[in-house]
Amino acid sequence: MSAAAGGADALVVRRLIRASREEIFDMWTRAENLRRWMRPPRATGASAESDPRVGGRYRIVMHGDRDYDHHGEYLVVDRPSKLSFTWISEGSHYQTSIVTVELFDRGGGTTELVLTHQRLPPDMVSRHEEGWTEILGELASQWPST
Amino acid sequence: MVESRAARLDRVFGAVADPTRRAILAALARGGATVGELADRFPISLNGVSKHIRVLERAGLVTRDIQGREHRLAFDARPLQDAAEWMDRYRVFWEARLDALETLLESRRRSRRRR
Repeated sequence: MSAAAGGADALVVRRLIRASREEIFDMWTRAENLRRWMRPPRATGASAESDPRVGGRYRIVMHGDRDYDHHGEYLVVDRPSKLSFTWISEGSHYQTSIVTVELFDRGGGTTELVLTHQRLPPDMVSRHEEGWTEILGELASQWPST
Repeated sequence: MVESRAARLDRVFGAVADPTRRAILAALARGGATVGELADRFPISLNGVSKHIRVLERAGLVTRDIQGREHRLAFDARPLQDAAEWMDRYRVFWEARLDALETLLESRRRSRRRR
């Protein structure tokens, strides 16, 4: 995947974390955890809802001088190794992008987290003209719904 | 306008996601060329090159200067700066979120040890 190589179309952030993959995975999927860390330091708080199954949706609202809305749909939910979801936020003018979090066991109680934030899913690029609704519908349909 | 800026950014990301188009851009970054000259340098048809160039033009990454029958193409880096800004902004965003995630995991680990 071009994203993993850090191509011009995607942002990749890596982090070695002292925690198990399960612990980190649950931080990303459980609303009560999300609202504790998915917020900027200056924010007064955050509210979160999540339905972590393929096709399920999440919403995170960061509260500050005003509210910042982030929401999307889960595309891959494979605990504890991979989570992928669409990312729609006011900050990116409500244009859909895709965030993928992969977790690798590095031994000694550490996990490597690789976050890929893609502006466009690579295999969909050529069909981009068709519009996002169709593209995301197809992407979601590649995964069996639960 | 905000909406068109976002759409433009999507076109830029879509354009540079393809390796052939990145190679065409790299070639043009070294100097302008005609469509025919570019087609000679790549193992694809003239028609194929033309299609890629149209995608790059729509993204604003390639400009076309028409002198009689000759169409000279040139690279324009400005749209890439927009794309780089998007990446920079999200890099800062995610690094900060991951800091907060680590802090939270660390404080849980400590409280477990105290118990």
